[in-house]
Amino acid sequence: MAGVLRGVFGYCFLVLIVRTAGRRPGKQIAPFEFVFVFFAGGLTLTAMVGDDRSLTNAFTIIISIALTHLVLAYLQRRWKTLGLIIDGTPLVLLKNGKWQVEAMRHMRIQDDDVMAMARDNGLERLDQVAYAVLERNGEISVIQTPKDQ
Amino acid sequence: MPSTSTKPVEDSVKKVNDELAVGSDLEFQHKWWRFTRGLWIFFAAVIVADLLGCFGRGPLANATARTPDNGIVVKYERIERYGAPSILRIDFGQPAIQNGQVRLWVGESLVKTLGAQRVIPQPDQSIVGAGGISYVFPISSTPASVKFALQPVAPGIYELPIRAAGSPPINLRIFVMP
Repeated sequence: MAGVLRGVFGYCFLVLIVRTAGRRPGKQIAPFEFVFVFFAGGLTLTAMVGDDRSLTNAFTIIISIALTHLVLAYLQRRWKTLGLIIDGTPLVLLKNGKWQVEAMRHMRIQDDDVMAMARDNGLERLDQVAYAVLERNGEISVIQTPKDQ
Repeated sequence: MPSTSTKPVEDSVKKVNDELAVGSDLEFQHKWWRFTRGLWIFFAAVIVADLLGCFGRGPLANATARTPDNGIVVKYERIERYGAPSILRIDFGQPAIQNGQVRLWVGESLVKTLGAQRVIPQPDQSIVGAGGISYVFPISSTPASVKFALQPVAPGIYELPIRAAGSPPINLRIFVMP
């Protein structure tokens, strides 16, 4: 039973930590952020498993984590606020030719990150970008200015 | 034919500049940023508390208890961690040594909850009973000490009474972190 509780706690704790540490997964993830993700995951695993290296313990913890994930996914559909807490909200990083400094500072995103996504979309210059939006999944969407489309 | 339920598409996503549907909730985001700022301060406090030993394994966790006559001096961790090994050391002074030996009695929580793994050095005798374990150690000279290797088996607050023949008892209170 302790393993199941540790699994649920470990999952919820990691969700909170990853949400707090910043939303830069997916295409924006840098090598040093991989270190954080793997380190945090590995250390959580140690505490969750403890001395019990049995298959039974692994099965029950995996199932409990999967169930916690399902329950959270269901609850965040029911309650919008929980969805905002878990996934966050899209944030505009660039609009009307101006950087949205507050959002970029809080989300630790630099103009280089936006330009990288612009290049990924076939754009050559930032003035071709009408809007850049940090999505809930951590990717940056780039919308071209109408004249460049 | 099986029916499939449908619903009309509603343009309910908040727009930027009346043209780009983004659905930003800036009011929530400002609250979240305030919350994370508080959370980071809390995390920093946790780290400082951990370095100090508030959660075990640090200066504040180390403790020493002694009898008024210095017959036994116990060096231990008042805050232990579940499953983490530690050493409880007992130094014996002259009042506790009788006829070249020490007769030490420790409460059963030493084994049951604090998970004593081994005693260093091995006692001549160990007798289970009276809510604890009695050990007999031959001692040729002072200072002399024995060590108990602990590995707590469950979180909680545990009392650990320790007594040596010829010396008053000591009662330790040990908190085991989850």
